[in-house]
Amino acid sequence: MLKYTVKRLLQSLVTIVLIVCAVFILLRMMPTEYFFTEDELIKLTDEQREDKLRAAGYLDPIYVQLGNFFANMFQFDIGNYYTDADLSKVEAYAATLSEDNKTSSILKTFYKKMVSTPDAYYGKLSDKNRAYVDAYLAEHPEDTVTAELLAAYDAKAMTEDLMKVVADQVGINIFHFNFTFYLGESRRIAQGQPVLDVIGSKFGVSMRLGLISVAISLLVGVTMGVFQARFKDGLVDQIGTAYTVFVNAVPHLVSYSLILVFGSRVLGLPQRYQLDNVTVSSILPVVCLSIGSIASYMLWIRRYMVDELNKDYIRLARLKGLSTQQVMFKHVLKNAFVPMVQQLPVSILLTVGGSILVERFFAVPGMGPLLTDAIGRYDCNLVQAIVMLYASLGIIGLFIGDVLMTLIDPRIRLTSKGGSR
Amino acid sequence: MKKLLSLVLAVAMLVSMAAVAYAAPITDFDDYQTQANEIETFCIQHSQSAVDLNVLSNCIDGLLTNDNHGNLQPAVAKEWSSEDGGKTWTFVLRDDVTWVDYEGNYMADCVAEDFLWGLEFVLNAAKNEAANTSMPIEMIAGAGDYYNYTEELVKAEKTEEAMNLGLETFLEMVGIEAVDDYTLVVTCVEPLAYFPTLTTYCAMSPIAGDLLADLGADGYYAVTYDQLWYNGPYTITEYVAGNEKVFSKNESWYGLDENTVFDTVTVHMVESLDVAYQLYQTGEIDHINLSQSNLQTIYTDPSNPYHDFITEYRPTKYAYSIHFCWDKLFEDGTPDLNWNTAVANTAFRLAWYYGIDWTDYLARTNAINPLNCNSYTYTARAVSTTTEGKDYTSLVLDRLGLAYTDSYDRLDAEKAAAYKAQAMEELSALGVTFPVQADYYISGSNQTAKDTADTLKQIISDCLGDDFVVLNIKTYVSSLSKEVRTPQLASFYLNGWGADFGDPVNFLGQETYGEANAYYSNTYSKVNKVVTDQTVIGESAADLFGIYMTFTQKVANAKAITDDQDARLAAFADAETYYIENALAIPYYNEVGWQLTKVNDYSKIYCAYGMQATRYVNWETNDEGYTTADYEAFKAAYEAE
Repeated sequence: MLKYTVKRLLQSLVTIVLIVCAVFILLRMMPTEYFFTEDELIKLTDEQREDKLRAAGYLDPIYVQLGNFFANMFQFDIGNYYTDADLSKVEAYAATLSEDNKTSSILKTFYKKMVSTPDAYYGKLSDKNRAYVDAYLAEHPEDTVTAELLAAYDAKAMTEDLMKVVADQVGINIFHFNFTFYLGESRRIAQGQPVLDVIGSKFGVSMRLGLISVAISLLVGVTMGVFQARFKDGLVDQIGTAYTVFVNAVPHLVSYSLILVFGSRVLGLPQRYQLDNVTVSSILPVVCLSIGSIASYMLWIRRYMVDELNKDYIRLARLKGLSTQQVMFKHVLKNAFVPMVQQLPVSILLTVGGSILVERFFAVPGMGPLLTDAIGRYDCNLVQAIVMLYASLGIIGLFIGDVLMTLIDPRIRLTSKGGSR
Repeated sequence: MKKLLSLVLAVAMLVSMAAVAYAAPITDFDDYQTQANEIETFCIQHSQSAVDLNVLSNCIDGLLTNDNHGNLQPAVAKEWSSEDGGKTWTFVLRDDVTWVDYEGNYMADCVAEDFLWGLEFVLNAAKNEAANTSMPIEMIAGAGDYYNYTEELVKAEKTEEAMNLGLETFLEMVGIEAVDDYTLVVTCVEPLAYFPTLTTYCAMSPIAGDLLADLGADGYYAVTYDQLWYNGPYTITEYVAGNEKVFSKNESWYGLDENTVFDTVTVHMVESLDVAYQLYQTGEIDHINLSQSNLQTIYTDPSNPYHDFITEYRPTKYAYSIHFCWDKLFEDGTPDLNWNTAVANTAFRLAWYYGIDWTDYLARTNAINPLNCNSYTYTARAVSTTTEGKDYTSLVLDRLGLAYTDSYDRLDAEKAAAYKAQAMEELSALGVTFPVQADYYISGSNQTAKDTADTLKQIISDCLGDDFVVLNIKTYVSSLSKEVRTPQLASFYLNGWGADFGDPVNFLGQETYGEANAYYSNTYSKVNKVVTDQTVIGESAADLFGIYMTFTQKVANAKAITDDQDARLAAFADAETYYIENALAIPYYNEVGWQLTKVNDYSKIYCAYGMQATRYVNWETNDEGYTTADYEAFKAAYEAE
């Protein structure tokens, strides 16, 4: 099993790298006009456009760009430096030094810049603000740390030792070992923000709705599927079949519109996802996300169970005197579930990636429309990161599906003497 | 007579106000945007797009703003003047403007130096990647030199040095100076009477120096709403991309005593206009632009609850014209001599000008009052006014002998027939074959564009005759620029242009011959590429060149008048009239659609240039919504002001 796992993971890694390379190269093969907005095409000269492409690295040969992409992917920071959390503490400390709001505000900026990016800060303390700092020091001669910082500012010579002095004063440890997985910055969707932050801010929303929807779909879909198989050709089966046909035949946008109108007009539910009313405003999006999956689970559970019900071992079980309930749940459902269980993790993981249509329709700030938006705006880094994410979700889902299948049906082996499955 | 008119209007207003007396003004306004219009950046200096500036114009105040008639009004600058005919401009700033963070906490005073940081950021090629540089470079002395200086640094791989540039070199090179904390002096490249209009635009917005020091240039480029400092009427207290953003009143805003603002404005992101219409019906938003189908549903059903509440919004800032391509090519790259020669013939174009009745086309936007979308002038309304407050376009209309009435006045079947006959005779002699094939391109995935193009084809067929011109509707996949404009495949384009500053040169300057900054000449009409007997047959080319030269000279003459605003506008009006009467482009459209609203549009800032028109300031509202009759009274009162 371990050997199989390692092998599958290595294969997966290679697959993801190949996918990323393919997407990277395809994006770079698009005409560079797509890089610019219509406004930029109007207002920038040819030379300015060229400069912009050069600055973004798009004029380098593709292999150089690809190399840079992978080279920048893993970043290590070791040593004394202030993280954002540290800087917040420094600011909080500096803010307490003076009771005067303005002085406090100036000291916050002064401390933060001196310990984080002093080189960019030298010469930027205006005369007016400098007067506040001087007045503060005149009133607080005991504050040697601020005095030392000001001296370092004047001499344009901030030192690591002084950074440590400030850290001791604030009560923080600034020795850090930091590993960053970096996939570049967004260019258009959220200008200048790391793409992982952009995705991270949306992934949680989609994940929550997706998982709730999968749970509901499984519960309702499997239950209905079992009843349909148990009472084949009966009323429940007819209703279930009609529902399945309806959901698959009617375009999603139409059924979502019907749910929207019914939910908002009749039940008074919010028409949009609301940040201050998340639970109630999630009901309609979750219903929309679930209706398709419920129909799918119903269809397949019914089909597999009807298949199983006609097999000899079921007849034998009945002859041996097992109750219908025992036959249905101990044997039929378990065996009918085997073909489905492999796909289950993939569908769960991909569902959490969001649904373009539902999220767009209900203004859910999730992952769904992100990929199409990013492609539409030529936000290459974001496209690559999302593709990488979806590829990883798909591969992990398949792997978990295989493992689950062996757990449910021990007859299935992932490895054998001759090789693996 | 004027008194009587005023009295009648006052009574009408009173009646209207009495009708809505029970309605209360809205304090927390709910607006919407479609998902495709989500903000991309909070760095106002970098943004060139309406989706960002719609938001940021409410957050960052520049030197000046506009009122509901488009007149310049004080903002951070309380006075502005020039003592040398517009070459040097002095702006005296208010001393009570402050920067606050998104929660409204005081961060710093807003001083003249902040405008220096703003312009330095714009002109620094490393910091702002050339965004918003075109107008400052054209107008402010030394701005181009500074941009080139930073660009050279980037090219020499000294980007870090360029990123860390302060104000020292900038002040040495660029004609801008903070004389003291509250006095800013700008030196233009030449006397520019309209320069103050540029200060309403983002290219001249300030950056709090302390914020820039805090975030660094990189950090400011990627600034988020909760890092940004605000000096405008609102701060953004909540923002979730794709869902909503909440503007809250900036309690420290200097203009609170003189202006009215909402306590909060929430902008809801919606999937489509249909979803927005649902939200309006349930009272979740206070304004909705109506799609054609929703408008028809309401308009044709007198029992519809909104039947009396549909109102026309005011014309948008874009004026649309037919732009002919003078150097059209076939797909194999060879010139389309038949089209190029035909369109270079003045009689051929004038047959289009006098012969096409655009009413059915305009009805695609405004089915009730199609002629309200009509435009006879190349320049948009509310771009510039005379010293007497007369809109510039009225000068052009007077010269053209046209007015916006209940009929399509430009249409003249007799003239059209005469010009058609003349064109066919002259062009046949040059070897042009009729009907002339005209290729028109639309996006292949846009059904609305397809339906509109079909209407256009029908109009051209009906008005000009199939023996004269045949319109071929062709499609591109994703980029008009790449697939059509660059290979010069279209015979003509239907384009809208919106001004960035308040002078007709912003429109007419795009059409001159032989000038590098003339956008339409270089990218659409390709007039500079016309070569006699290679791309166009001789006599037609001579005709075209002659008209272009005269027009270009007229524009140059108008530009040279810098000390007399009325004379300058009159000269531009002459140039524009010449341009239109020779049908170098054919104006035809200005968007005026229908809405349901609880806002009096005539109280909003209205200006066809800059970014001020989207500010939620001084809006008159009532929570019951305005009726068609209310709007008619508002319009009459507004026009009488």
